Amino acid sequence: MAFRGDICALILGSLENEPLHGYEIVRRLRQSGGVGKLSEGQVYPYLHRLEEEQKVTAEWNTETGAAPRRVYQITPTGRKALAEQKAIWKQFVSGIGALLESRPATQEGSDA
Amino acid sequence: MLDYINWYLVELKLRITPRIPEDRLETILKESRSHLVQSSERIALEKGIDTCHAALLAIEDFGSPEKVAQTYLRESHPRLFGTKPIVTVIISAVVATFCFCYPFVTLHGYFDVFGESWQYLFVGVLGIFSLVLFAMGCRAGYQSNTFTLLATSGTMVLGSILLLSFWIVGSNGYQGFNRFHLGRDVSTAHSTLNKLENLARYYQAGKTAFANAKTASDVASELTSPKLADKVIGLSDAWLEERSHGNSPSPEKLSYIIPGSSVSGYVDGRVWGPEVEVLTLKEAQNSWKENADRALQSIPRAENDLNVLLASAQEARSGRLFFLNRDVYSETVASIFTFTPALLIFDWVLYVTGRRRKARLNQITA
Repeated sequence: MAFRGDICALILGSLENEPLHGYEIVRRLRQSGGVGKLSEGQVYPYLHRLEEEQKVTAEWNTETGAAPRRVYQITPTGRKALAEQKAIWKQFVSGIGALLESRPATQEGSDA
Repeated sequence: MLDYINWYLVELKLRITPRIPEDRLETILKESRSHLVQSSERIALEKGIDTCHAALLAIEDFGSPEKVAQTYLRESHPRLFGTKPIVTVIISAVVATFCFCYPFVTLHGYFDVFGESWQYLFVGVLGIFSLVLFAMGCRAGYQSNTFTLLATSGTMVLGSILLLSFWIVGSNGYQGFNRFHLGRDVSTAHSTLNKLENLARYYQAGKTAFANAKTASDVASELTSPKLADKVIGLSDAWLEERSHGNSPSPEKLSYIIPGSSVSGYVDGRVWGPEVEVLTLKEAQNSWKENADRALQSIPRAENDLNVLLASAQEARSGRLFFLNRDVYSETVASIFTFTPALLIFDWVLYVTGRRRKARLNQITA
């Protein structure tokens, strides 16, 4: 799961419910195993790309008292892109699922 | 802790400075710093180690400055001639490979219509120009193009097999019909067959005449005159006449038509076999005695080759699309396979040296 489209979808997915800063996004992606062979620093270019494509917005948050953090928030365009990715993913999963479930049935049929 | 992080950020900055706008660079560095600080603090807390050691672990997780810089550059929409650099890489690789395979892809040797020296010069210049474009595309893309080049090469192999198998109708290893000039080639092949029949009759007559001749005057004039021989055999392009200019007959030696040891007939109308030589009658008789039978035996083989091609032409006219023949495409496929590793190595060298050179230049200018 380290293709560009997948990474972008995972980033959008992590931002679906709440705005997050970069470090937290990377941490969640790492926990999900979604970054594959990418290092933490290699996730940021994809975040910036999504920002360029106006799928997310970013703002520096300096109100916490800690070091300034850049907080990302998903946009309506981003939500639309995420919905499309989800639909593709569901279709893929159902296709694979159907394939995997049909094989034992066929084998049983031939055994019978 | 901050010393390590600052060192890392300087390294990262050196690698992306010239290609990324100043304001964006500032954001990247600030955000990277924020990430590394947070990561160091968390690691120090979780593992109970000092912050300096934690900063090193955080940097390791963040990735080498080279890798991170490459990803930034790749994702920053690099453009070359208004398109993605990969487009330039693919097009230039195809053109360069085509130039490398030129004699085979253009069917030089099959129809002999290409292959003039100025065309080779043009193809050579075009090939070098393509390699320059290829280098520019590789440098601009900030990525290795190994998989792209392998896919392009595979597509070219498959495409050339199909293209050549469609283009060349039938083949006996050294000649075939051109699908786009099928009518012309079939017509000239029939004319070659007629010439071969005439040549067989000519050789039979010559064999008898020379066996029975006592003096030079006993030999019929079409066996001594290249012009007449051309006419009798049907070599309308004055094949023998043109080859007799250097021969100078003397009172002892005369110009004789003698059979070569074998006969070949081509789809473009050429027939190879008879030759002109200045000889004594005895030498001419020996030559006919030695070669006439072998030459006569090779005529049916030449006719058979042409008949096989004519049968293929009939199949092509009936709708057969591809004539898969290893003789036709093997050289092209082999040359693509030879050239692809060269492109892969070139791409790899450009990728590696490009990264190092950029970092070195940046260090100098910093």
